[in-house]
Parts: sequence; structure tokens; C-alpha cells
Amino acid sequence: MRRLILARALFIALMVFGWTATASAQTMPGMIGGTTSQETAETPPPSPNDVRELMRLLSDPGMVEWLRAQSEAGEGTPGSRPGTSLREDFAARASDIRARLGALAVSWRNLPAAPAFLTDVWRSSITADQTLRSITYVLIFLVVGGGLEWLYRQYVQVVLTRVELRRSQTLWARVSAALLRAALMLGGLAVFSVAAIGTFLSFDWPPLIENVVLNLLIVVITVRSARTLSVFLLAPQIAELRLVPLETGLARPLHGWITLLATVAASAFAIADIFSHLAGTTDAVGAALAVTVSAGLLCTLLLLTAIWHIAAINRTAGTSAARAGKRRRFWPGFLSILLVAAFILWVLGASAMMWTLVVLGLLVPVMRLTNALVDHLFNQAEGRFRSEAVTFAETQEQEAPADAQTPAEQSDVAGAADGELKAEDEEPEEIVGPYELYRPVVRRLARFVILIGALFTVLHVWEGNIFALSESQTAAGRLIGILADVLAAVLIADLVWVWAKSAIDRRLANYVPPQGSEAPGPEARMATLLPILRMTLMVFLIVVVAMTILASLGINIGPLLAGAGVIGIAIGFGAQALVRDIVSGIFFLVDDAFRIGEYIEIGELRGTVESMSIRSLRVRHHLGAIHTIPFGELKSLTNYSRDWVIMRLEFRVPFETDVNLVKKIVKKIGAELLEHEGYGSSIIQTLKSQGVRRMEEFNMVIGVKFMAKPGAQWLIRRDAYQKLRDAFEANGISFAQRNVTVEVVGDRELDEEAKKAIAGAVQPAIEAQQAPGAAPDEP
Amino acid sequence: MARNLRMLSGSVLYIFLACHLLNMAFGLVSVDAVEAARTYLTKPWTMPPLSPLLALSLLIHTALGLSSIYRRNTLRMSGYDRVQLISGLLVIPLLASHIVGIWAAKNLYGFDPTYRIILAYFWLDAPAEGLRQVIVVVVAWLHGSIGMFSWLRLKASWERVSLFVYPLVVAVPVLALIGFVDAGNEVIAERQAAIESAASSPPAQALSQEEIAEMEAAAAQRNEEIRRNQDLQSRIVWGTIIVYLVVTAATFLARAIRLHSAHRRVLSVRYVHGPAFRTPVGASMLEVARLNDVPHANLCRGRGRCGTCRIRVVEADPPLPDPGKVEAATLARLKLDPDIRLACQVLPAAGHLVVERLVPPDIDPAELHVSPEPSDTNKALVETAGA
Repeated sequence: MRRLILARALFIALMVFGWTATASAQTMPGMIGGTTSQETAETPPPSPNDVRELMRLLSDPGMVEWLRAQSEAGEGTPGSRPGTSLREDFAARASDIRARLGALAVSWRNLPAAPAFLTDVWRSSITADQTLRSITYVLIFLVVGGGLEWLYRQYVQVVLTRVELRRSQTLWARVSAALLRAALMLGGLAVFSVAAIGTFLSFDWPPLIENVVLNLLIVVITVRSARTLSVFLLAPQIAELRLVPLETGLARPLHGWITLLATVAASAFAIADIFSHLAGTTDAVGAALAVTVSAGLLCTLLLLTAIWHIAAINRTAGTSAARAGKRRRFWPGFLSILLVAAFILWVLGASAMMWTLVVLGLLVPVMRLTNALVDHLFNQAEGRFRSEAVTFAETQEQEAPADAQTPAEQSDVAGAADGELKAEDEEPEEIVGPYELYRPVVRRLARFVILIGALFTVLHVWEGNIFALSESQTAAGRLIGILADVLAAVLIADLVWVWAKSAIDRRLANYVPPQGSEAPGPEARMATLLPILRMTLMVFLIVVVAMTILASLGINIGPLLAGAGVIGIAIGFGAQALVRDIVSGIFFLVDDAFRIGEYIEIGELRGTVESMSIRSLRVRHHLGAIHTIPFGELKSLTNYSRDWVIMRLEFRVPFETDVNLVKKIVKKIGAELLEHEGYGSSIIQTLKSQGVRRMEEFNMVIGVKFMAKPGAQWLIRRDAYQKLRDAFEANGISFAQRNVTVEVVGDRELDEEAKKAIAGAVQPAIEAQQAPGAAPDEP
Repeated sequence: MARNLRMLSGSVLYIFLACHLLNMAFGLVSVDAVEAARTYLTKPWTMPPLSPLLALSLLIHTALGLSSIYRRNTLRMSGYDRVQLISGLLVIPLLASHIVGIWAAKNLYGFDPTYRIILAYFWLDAPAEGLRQVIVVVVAWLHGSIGMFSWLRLKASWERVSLFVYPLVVAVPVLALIGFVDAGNEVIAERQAAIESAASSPPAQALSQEEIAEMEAAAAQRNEEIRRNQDLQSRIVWGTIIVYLVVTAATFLARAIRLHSAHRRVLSVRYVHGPAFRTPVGASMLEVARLNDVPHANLCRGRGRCGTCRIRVVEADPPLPDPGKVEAATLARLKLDPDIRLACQVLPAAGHLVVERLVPPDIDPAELHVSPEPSDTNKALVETAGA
């Protein structure tokens, strides 16, 4: 006992020294002991007895060996020694591996003795009766947990069965059904765990039995959790609830393997843990190590079998696997090699290397799987819309062969099951559902999360605290910190860019430019604004990422920003008009004052909007001239192409005309106009008579009017005039003619001379009446 | 007749088991409390009016169970059925040593097996027996509870009763097992205290040479007697187990021979609103559905009692055999159309069959008694099944 305390004190002193001194000296404990006593000078000097005891202890080779092992274990704790060089670090790791190899060799040599040793240790710690009793206890606790869980299930079973049997159509219903199912199952698991562990905790136990029993209970709970998770994701019995793209033929064996692997792994490592706990202090033959390694070996072999079994099933399941055949053979092989390599590294004790290898090796498959998963979820989400659209399309073209797409679908499912990422095997016509926009975004997001997660895992494995690392001054630490910053900035920018780009592109792709005289829709405005926005966003993102990278490289971007600010102000003053043009342009577009293709009037200028740049507006006059107007110059703007226009026409008829007849004729013509195939649909209110608008000296003015969509009114007006004229002529109504009636008093015949004289006399009256009314302009 | 007999004998055994377990649950108080409760809960079962009944029930129930295994067409079944079958098979071999032990204690060794002695035996002298005892409690309780549920859930009052029955069914074994642990801990502590006091107490008063020799001779004789009795006891136990195993194996063998010829021919089945498949002949329609993953309602688990497994036979080539007595009774009780049959009782021959499920697979026992007019329920159920 005393020896142990002393040795422990020495070890603590050693550790204190190890923090300050170089690592190389740690293999010589004798020297260190001396130094330590010098350093801790304020403590009272040791008694001669103690010194003698210490000398005796240090001369004991077993103790020296133990001390070295302990110091190396202390050495192994990561991140504890700031300032060690790379070479020392490497040397330490190499010596770790050498020590591990030595331990392995010892363990291998003593392998035949290991079972006997473990049995002895077990017997000395727990009697056979106690072992049996612990099994009884475990069984009872499992029964208690299981009974309560069964009780719980009786109350939720109806809901669970309903969830499993009712087929839901939408993705949301499916996800909520899966979530509800998982919640119910997890609730059962929780009841089980709480009941089993709670009963266990309500009794008092000897410590070793407590350890063993708790370990066994935890194994059971772990296995059941894994099973529940697998059921939630794979739903081996019910294809409709499955969240991953797998067929039933594959999901079932996969579920079986997951269960088996979880069981074997959990129990193997629990046993290894119990034994290393038991034999930890007195393990001379390396038996605990042997148990651990064989547990790992067992798990590795099982995992290998699982990989090849699943691959074999997959190969037989996929029928049209011609193009994916090479990849199919590649992935199991790759995973096997990865697994074996990881196992070897683990046996050698290089766990950091192992985790790095595993993370890097799994990165690509996991990303492919995630992509397939995202695609699957989106396909399911789109499924309803797509199926509706497909049935619609099929009713339209009956003769199109429907079976053409079945092999494509099959291969799609098989390929997705293999975790292959392929170009989307879309149906013949592109059908876009409401979620399609988010597909690339979610893909990028998943990739982003996976990459960041992998990076953090690797960093964590290597260096412990990553956040402390980026503060550290070593070259490697700084490099890694910079890399992490840059990667994060690029990935986030990429995420934003993909989202914005896909959103903008989709909006633009949906935009159909107005054809002919058709009035442009509200999308025209977006068609103008979105490319500008996209460009701006790209420049902005590039600038931000560049700034972030520069900042993380240690370059002070303050002056850069300040300089940019100063230059910006200078340019701003110089380009005030330009800025005003751009900004007011954006606001005109936001106000929806005009769109491409509309007929507008700005002050004196009129014409159709042909194009917009970031600064100016280009308007084509109906006679062909082009006006270029900067947005900043626009004060007010009249738009002739909005919603509706009213066109009023008038014509003069003699006083004796029958107004009611005119009304009838106008009504008839209005109906005719409405039926015209060219512009009939553009008429909002057809031609109608407004009766006599006013009386003039020699005639009366009849007014008619109609309302139409902008742009169509000219054509309608032309036809209306023409038809009216024809109809009036057919009904004997004449338009009022310009005439001056000269009343000659008396009834004598007028000779030619007299007529000429009269005509000359009334000429001024005729000319005075002529009021040249300018007809409204027509484009 | 056989059904009622099975139900009756099972009920007797179940009630006995419940009493026995409740007795054990008093272990949560103390061992003395268990002993006190024994007079009322367990003792009566060892007296003549009840003890022959118990033995008879055990024999009848075992025989009926084996005969039902012989008649079973497939061993692929729902979880509850599988658990019930396996637990039923396990009860006898697991229980043999306990029953024989109690019998031997009374008749061979001539002492009253109190709970204190038995608990000490289970926890200290033979922990393996204690483990076996826990297993048999679980197994027997499972078997009995499943049987009782299959029977009770068809009753009209089930919905009201089940709220209380479910917790009770869990509480009885859980309390019994926890009582077992608690009483065991008490017994272990007592024994340790006894050992310590024996070590510290002074040796007994000095005896003369003859007295010692006499005592040793008596002890040797006693030991010899105990050894012989133990041999006899283990012979009885193993004899029972071996006989049981042989009978069980013979049952399975006979069943295999019976099914061997039937399995060669193939039946093709198509479900309206469901899958179509081909399957070997020899199973009832309910078992066919289960073999091919077609969800199918069956509240009484294929005993022909509930009628929830009913199917409409749309097309049958060759025609199905006429309904048996059980099936005809149920069909008449539910006033069903002539083309409706119970899937659990129909044993189709090789050929072609088109059937339609009439009850949604997720039917609740409560829904059985909702509408007194079966044809109305039918219509509603079909609609929900199609949805």
C-alpha cells in the first residue's frame, strides 16, 4: 500500500516535470526524481527511510517499466504540451506504436493462457453464485422494463397500427407519420430504459456487480436504440414509410445486419470493458488487450461480411446495371480496404490516424448517399405533382409509349439504392413542382454540413480543442485555422450563391417574353431586374469571400476597407448622376412604373420601352426613332399600356338623321366587333352609342365609345369607322357635308355670273368654319 | 368442446399462477409477510378440492396444446402466436424440477417447504435454480396472458375492462419478481448474519465419545437417505422432461409428415385491392395471408371466434369445402352472406382463388361491438379498407 502511494506521488511529480521539461528526458525516471526534489524545495526534506524506500523502488525493474508506461500514457494525452516540435510529436507517436506492438506481442504469446487468466480474475472477483445471481437480476430488470413497455404499447398500439397501415400521399404526411412512429417507438424504449435502470438503482449493490449489471443493461438499451433508429429510417416491413431510397429486398437484410452488428459490437465492447476493468491492475499476460482486439476483429469481420452480402443482394436486384456495374464492384472493395486499414491502425493504437482515415474515406460515399437521400425525399415530395402532371400528359398524347420510362425508373431506384449519384433521370418532359427550387440548396447544405462535420472531427481527433488550436502560434495550427476559415467562407458563399442563382434562374426560365401585340405581364419587370441582381450578388459574394480570406491570412483589411471607402466617396461624388440613375432606375422598377414592351410617354417623348440598362431606358417611337432616357431624368411618366383604354369616336350627321336608327346600327356593329377573332377578346366594353353629343351649326355630333385592352384600340377604331360608314351608307344615312346654304330672296333664275358672285361672297364663311381638329396620334 | 376445455383448464392454471405470484409479491414487505399470505393464497391449492383439479388441468392443457401444434399448418405466425407457442412448449421442462422439488420436500423429506427455506435455496444454495425459476415465471405468465387476452378481447365489455386489465397483467409478475429480489436480499443478509454469529459464538458443550459417534452415524444415515431421495428426485425430473420432449418431437414429426404431401401443390391467390401471388397448399387463408405479408385482421388469432378475418370469395376454382361447425356457427351469429367465409377456417385446395378482405387490418376490439347490424359495418369497413 505504501509503495503504491509513494509511486503515485512520484508519478504526479513526474507529470509536473513533464509539463515543463522536454519530452525526451522522460524515459529516465531516476534523473527526474532528483530534479523534482530540487524543484519542490519548499517541501520538508524526505526522511532517510523514505529515501531508502524510494531507491529500492527505483531499482525495481517492474516499477521502472510501470513508470515508463504511465509516463507514456501521460505523454499520449493530446494537446497538453504546447510548443513541442513536429519531430518530437512524431517521435512520441512512433514510440507509442512501438509500445503498443510490444504489448500486442506479449498478448499474442500469452494468448493460450488468457482464458484461464480471465476466468481466474473473474472467479476471484465474483463467485459463481454471484454470477448466476447477477444474471437473475438482469433478467428480472429486463422483465420489469419489458412489462412496462408492453403496457405502454397497449395504449399506443392502435395509433401505431393506424400510422403503419394508412398510406399517406404527401411528403409532409409521410414525414409526420414516420416521426410519429419514431416518437412512439422511442417512447417505448424510454419506458423500458427508465423502468429497467430505475428498478436496478432502487436496490443496493456491491460495486463490481453494479458495474457488470449496468453494463449489460446498457448493452440491451444500446441495441434496442439502434434497432429503433433503423426501423425509423428503413421501415423494413412497410415500403411506404421508408425514408431512404431502398427496396424491400434490400432494406430487410440491411435492417437485420444493423441489428446483428449493433448487438455484437455493443456486447463485445461491453465484455472487453468489463474485462479490462477486472484485469486492469493485474494484467500481466495482456489478456484484456487480447479480448479487446478479438472483439474488434469480430466486429470487423462481421462488417466485411455485411458489406459483401449487401453488395451481392444489390447486384442481383439491379437488372439494368450495365453502366453502373463497374462502380458496383468498386464500392464494396473500397469499403473493405478502408475497413481493414482502419482496423490495423486501431490495433496499432493510432486512433487519430484511424479516425482520419475513416472520416476521409467515408466522405465521398456519405456525400453520395446524402445526395441520393435528398433526391429521394424531393422525388417523394414532388411525387404527387409529378404523377398528376404525368397522367395529364398521358391523356393528352395517348399514342406515346408509356413503358419507355419504366426501365429508366427501375435503374433510377437501383442506382439510388447503391448510393450512386447520377444526372437526374428526368421524365421526358420537365415537370417542376413547388419544392424543386430548394433541391440544389438542400444538396449544398447537406454537403456543407458533412464537410464541416468531417473537418471538425478530424481536427478534434488530432488536436483536441480546435478553438484553442486556432489561437496557438504553431505553423500547423495557424495553417489549419486559416484553412478552416477559408473553407467555411467559401462554403457559405457557395451555399448562398447556389440558392440565389437557382432561384433567379428559375424565375427567368419561367418568363415568357410577350409576343406581338400582347401586353407584357408582371414577370417582365423581374426579367429586367433579376440579371442585374444576380450580377451584383456575385460581385458582392466574391468581394466578401476575398476579404474573409485576406483577413484570415492575417492581412489587415482595415486600410483596404478604409481606402475603398475613400475612393468610394470620391467616385460617388464624381458619379453622382450615375448613382442617381441607377438607384432611381431600381425604384422605378420596384414601383412597376413601366415594363419592357409598354407604350409610355415621358414629357415630350413617346414610344415603346425596348430595353433597360442599369442606367437608362430605351424607348422607340412608333415612327422608329429611339430615345435614350437616363432614369435620373424621369420625373413623371405616363403609361398607355395599363389595364384598359377608352376610345371615343364622333361623327357628324345631318339634323334629319334618325338617332334611334343610329343607335341600333352602332349596337349591331358593337356585337360584330366583339365576335371578331383577331381582337374580339381584347374588347372590354364594346362599341356603344352615346347619343347626340352636341349640336353644331349645320349638323349634330353623334358620340360612340368603347373600352379595350391597351394596344388593341387602334385596330378596333379602324374597323369601327369602316363598319359604321358601310352600315350608314346601307341605311341611307349620310354624313353631314360641309355646305353653306344661300337663301336667295325672290324666285328669279340665277345666271352663272351671279352664282360665282355668291360663291365668292360666302367663301370667308366656309373658311371660317374649317376647324382643323388634329386626329389623335396612332403608333 | 376442445376449445372450452382448453379455456377452462387454462383459466384454472392462470388463476393459480396469479395467486402464487401475488403471494411472492409480499416479499416487498418481508419474508414473514410472504409466509403469512401463503396460508390464503398458495396453501388452498395444495389441498384436495383444488390440487387434483390443478393437476388435471395441467395434463389436459398440455395434451390440447400438443394437438393444436399437430393441426397447425404453418409455423410462420404473428408475434403473439409465436411467443405463445414457444412459451407453452417451454413451461413443462422448466417447471418440472420446481414441482417435483416441492412434492419431494413433502413426501420424501417430510418437511413443510416454507418460503424462507425455498428462497434461501433459490438465492443461496442453488442460484441456477433461482434463475430458472425467474425464467419460468416469465414464460408461464406470458403464455397464460396471451391466451386470456385472445379470449377476453372478443367480449363486449373488453373496452371498459382492458383499462384495468392491462396494468394488472403487468403489475402481477413485476411485483412478484421485485418481491422475489427483495425477499432474496433479506434472506441473503440473514444468512450472512447467521454465519458471522456462528463464527463468533462459542462451540457447543463437550459431548462424550459415544454420543459423537452416535450422532455421526445418524448423520451418515440421514445423508445416505437424502442422497437416495435426491437421486430419485432427479430421475423423476429428467424422466418427465425426456418423456415430454419425446412427445413433443413426435408431434412435430407427425405434423411434418401430414404437411409433406400437401406442400407440393400450388395455389394462386389474388386479393381484390391487394396483391396476387402463388403459394403452397396446406395453409388456411389467414396463414396464406401472413406468409405473403398481406395485412389481415384476426382478433381471435385464427380460432374462428371473432369473424374479423372474414373474406368474400369472389372466385374459387375448385370450389371451397363447406364451412365446418365452428365457422358455420360464427357465420350464422354474424348473419353474413353465403359467399363470405372465415379466412382462418378456410383450407383451400390447389387451384385459383380471388378473395376480398372485408375488415380493415387495424380493427380495434372495441369496433366489434359498435354496430349491431353486421351488413352496415361491413360496408363501412370495406370503404375504409379501400381508402
